[in-house]
Amino acid sequence: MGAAVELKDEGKGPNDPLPEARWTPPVAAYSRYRPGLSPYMHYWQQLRAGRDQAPPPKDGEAGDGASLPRQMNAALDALIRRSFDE
Amino acid sequence: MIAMAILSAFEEFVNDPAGVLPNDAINAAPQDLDDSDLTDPALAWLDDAALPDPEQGCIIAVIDDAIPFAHERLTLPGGVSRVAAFWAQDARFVGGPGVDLPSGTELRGGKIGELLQQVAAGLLPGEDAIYRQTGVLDFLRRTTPSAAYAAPHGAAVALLAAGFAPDDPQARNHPLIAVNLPPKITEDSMGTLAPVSILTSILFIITRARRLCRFIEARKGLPARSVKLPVVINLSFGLTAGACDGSSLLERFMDAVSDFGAPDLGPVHFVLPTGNNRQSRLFARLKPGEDIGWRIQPDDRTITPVEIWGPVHAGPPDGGFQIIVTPPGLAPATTAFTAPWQYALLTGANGAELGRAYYTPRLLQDGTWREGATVIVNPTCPELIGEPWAMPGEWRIGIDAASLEGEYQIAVQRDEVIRGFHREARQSWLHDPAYQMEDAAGRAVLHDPADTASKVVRDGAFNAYAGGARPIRVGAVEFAGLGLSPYCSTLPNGEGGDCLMPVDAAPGQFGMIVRGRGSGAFSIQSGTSLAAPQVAHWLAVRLAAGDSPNDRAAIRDLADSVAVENDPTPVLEGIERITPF
Repeated sequence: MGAAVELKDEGKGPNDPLPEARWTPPVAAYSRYRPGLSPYMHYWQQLRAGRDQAPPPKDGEAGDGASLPRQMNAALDALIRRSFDE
Repeated sequence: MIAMAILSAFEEFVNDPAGVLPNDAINAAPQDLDDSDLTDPALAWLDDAALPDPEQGCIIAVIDDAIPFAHERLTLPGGVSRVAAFWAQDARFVGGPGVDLPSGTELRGGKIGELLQQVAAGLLPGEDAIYRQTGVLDFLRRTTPSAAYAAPHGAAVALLAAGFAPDDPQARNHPLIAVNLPPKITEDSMGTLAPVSILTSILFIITRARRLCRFIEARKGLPARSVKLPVVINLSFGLTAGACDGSSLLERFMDAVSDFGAPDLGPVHFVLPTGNNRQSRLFARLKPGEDIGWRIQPDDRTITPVEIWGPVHAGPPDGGFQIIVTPPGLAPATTAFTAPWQYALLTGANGAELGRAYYTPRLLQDGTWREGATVIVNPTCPELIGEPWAMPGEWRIGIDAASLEGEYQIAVQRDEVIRGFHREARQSWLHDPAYQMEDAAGRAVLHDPADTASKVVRDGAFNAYAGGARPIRVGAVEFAGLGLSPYCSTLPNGEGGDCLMPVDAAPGQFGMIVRGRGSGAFSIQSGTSLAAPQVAHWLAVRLAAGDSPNDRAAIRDLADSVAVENDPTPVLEGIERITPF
């Protein structure tokens, strides 16, 4: 016979406030453009860094990624230009 | 030169933060190509017997997994290969012709032909030995040996796109350029690691197609830059989450390739599947102040992402878009983003990390901005003890009421297990009680009812790689009645694609017979992945025959002119299929 398990009422009612979830203060995932950057790639790099399989990505200051969308456009234009140069 | 473009595009791929490539696959010192491929037999793109007619040829290119480059359907009589170039991105780097490539092994038609001749002479014990001898299949390496699978996705796709009977007179005019993506890319149940690999695959195809044209000129004594073969590239891959507006790097690059082309190459067309997720409840539309249920399964060892794409505005982005995430059993939490490419971690009651969000507004080509964010929930069953995890159940995701007015598209990323790869992925979905799966009689509801109150939608959510202006999007129909297959995604106009192809036998009987890895092998597979290569094949044959549709509308018109059904979307007759056994 296994031990009996007693189910206990934790004492929380339906009107009690729910525990909070919180966001950490936002920081920049990337500070400069690099090919293939994406939220997924950033996650994978952090996960692999936690496993000592890759260097950890460096967090930037909150505003460091502000110019990334323009950098991404410029990099794409450059890639297209180089791709079809003579 | 484009060779340098490959290097720069691969810079980060070689650094490989996601661990896609094995270390021994890296080419530590890439070099530019020179013109020795025009004279050195060891670098020959094709045997002379396989050179296409310069006026009636069309290159077919395929980007996929486990492409069987030694298959009989890719040869001409006598064991002459039609594969001009094949790149296994994650094979061990051992030098060879692909010195400009940052990783893997390149094989060219001349070399593949030699190996085929050795098989024919009994010096190699069959096709399998070719894959092993070239290093494309190496069981000693710690990668998934998908090139050994009997019926891989890439075999079905490549042989639908580029397969011909060896004695078919059309075969010779359709050389193949193929790229094997690393198994890690296919193994990623969300497909999120693929864009850089696909981008570089496209660059590879363009460089090799241009060199093949120069090679044909040299071998046939034609003036330089006089051979300009067209190219049809099939990409039977896709994502479910994305802006779907042509603004991603990959979509814009594909559009640019088709728009500008190269001066010494014919037009380049891309063919992609529309997608397989019409009934998967992965898409919703919200307004500021609204939210939606997001059901995340237990025992999921992979992350669960959702992308949110909001309205277009003059910008710049300044925090006028925030999202609210409500984990099960916890109070809602609102992000506080202020600048692009910020991320924040979501923590629970005890401070444990549950997930994260990234703010990814996109600068569009016309100078306007589109709001965007990605939320990633940790695995509900972490792969390693001690790694962050999240609770399964009903999460909710919403748009903060103070966000910019307009429609916000919520798209859950696919989390699909590919046969033969890891089986730990579990697909999440969006939940709205107003969503009707069945009608009162118990029949599946196949399109969104006009009067639906559901925020979860079926129509207009399609392959996130296929939102550009140029690629041909192909959906699947059933052979029996030519009705749209129930899973086939739809474009914003409600159609299943720009063209449709038969894939499934009948309603409720999914699948078609497709070829496997070994000559003579077959399997039954389904999905719009199989519709796209049939259209790629059809289009390549039409281009070789002299048709010259220059954009999506013209290709659709051409399809309309030969379709077996035209209303509302042209349905093409399926290409030659294996006679049922």
